[in-house]
Amino acid sequence: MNQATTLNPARRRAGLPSDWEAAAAFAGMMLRATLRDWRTLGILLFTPAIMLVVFRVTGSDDGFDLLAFVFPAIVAMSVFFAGAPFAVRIVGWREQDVFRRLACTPAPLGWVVAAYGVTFVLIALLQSGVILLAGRFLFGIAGSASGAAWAILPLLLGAVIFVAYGGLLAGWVRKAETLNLLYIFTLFPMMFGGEVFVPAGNAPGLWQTAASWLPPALMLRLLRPLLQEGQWPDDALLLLAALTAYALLLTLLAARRMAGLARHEPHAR
Amino acid sequence: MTHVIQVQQLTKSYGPVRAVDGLSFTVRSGEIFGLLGPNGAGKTTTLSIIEGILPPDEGRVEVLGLDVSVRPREVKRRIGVQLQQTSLIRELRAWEQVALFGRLYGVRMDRKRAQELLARVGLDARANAYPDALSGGQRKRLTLALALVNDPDILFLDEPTTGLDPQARRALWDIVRDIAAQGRTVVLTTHYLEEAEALCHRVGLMDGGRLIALDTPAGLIRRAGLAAVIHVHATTSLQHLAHRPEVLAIHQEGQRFRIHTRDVAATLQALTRETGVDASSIHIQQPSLEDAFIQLTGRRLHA
Repeated sequence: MNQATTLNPARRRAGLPSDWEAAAAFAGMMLRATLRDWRTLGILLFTPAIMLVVFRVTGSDDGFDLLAFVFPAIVAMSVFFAGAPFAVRIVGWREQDVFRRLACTPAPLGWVVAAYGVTFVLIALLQSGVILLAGRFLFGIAGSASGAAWAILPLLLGAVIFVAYGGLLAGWVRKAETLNLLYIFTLFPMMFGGEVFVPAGNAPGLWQTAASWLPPALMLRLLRPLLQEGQWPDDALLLLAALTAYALLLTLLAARRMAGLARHEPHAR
Repeated sequence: MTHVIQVQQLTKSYGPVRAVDGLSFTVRSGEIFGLLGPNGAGKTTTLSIIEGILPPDEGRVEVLGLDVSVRPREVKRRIGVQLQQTSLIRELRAWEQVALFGRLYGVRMDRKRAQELLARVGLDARANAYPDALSGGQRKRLTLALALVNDPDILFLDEPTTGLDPQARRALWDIVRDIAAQGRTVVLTTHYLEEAEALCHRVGLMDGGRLIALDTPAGLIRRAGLAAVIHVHATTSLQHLAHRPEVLAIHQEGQRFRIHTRDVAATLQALTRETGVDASSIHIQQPSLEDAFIQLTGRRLHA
């Protein structure tokens, strides 16, 4: 074997970027790009905003403040849906060969995809914050400021869970339309069975029990007392532990699937 | 002569299909090296293995003296890659794509430097455009800029001009020649014969995952033993030229003759001296790389 040619010795002295540096650069750039996409952000905020209006108009009945009941769920909506746009983008990357292009760089593909997921977590938290502020200041929904600050913890765990869930689905589904349908049709039963928007009294008992331990219900069991009374519920540690377990499990499963894609996707041709 | 790429007995199968079958070749420093073959010949798979994004089943690849299967990240740091598909991130402007890929290679690249790189591929005026707003040729040039972001020693271009109109294709050829003139090695795959002839110092003909032949374009034509054809209009018979040693065959249709010869100069001399035909009626057809491909593989490139 002949000796390698070195055309640019000065550049050779520069080291490889660390995995963290590459991931942070990617997350930063994608976050900036997403934040300036006002149209998409507006569309994502439209549904929770319209729900605030609808529940304000329909008002309260028999002493039951419907808006106060659903407000924590509306705040959490951006988090529930955070995984869908992430998953759709990942499917788009697979279609457009972006995975293969990224695999050609020295940056580890898994880190880059994870960094992209982080941008969706941050966007979901930002949207939740906007809804929280709008509810408080535009719609006069009473609540605790300290509770709202603590609410970031279940919202963060929820965002990680749903973004990882989206990533997991994107690892298996190849069409954006199918993926959106699958996401919605798995999310809605979790939400309706878990007393997210409506009391689950009419749902089958077994389903109520199961849904109450799924992420949307776990989040709401934390968010309602935090946002309404500014207090953690008695079983807060158990609920946080369950959310953390979901977050770790789904992140692990999504990471494994993405690692599989990183190995096989670049040359699936 | 320094070899920057050495491929030895490379094999890769997808299920029952053997995409690359015992491939061996070397690429010299500073040359434009082409892998030419029809779709499915194994060109892209070969490139993917050399680029370190696909492990081979068997064989060994060294790039710039580094074993690709052992040190893929170091190899990736020193090469630039342009894929067949444009593979751009739709949410980012042109200059942002360049800046982001720079960071993935550990190159600090602000907007000014990104714009300078875009200027090298004639795209500085479109620095703020999103990929969807770029034409096919502009997208190809942007992907070329991304391939140059780390100042690579070797540039890999996979079907760089597929889907481009002739003008955009020639513009891209000029950029590739310019890159090679700066001392970089360029490895490209193509199924355009004229592209291989126009750009490449050496060409490897691939078919069915195998390397059929490897030489300069002129060398491949010579190796195929192909004859040039002299088309001539004559009122008298030219059949007596068939006895000349370099003449392979003469076909006549009325007053039009096609003389197949291994030595154009000698045959022309005889033609003008012995038969007195009008020189203005003579048309010479040199064998092309396509003729060589047909001769060497037994089939057309674009069947």
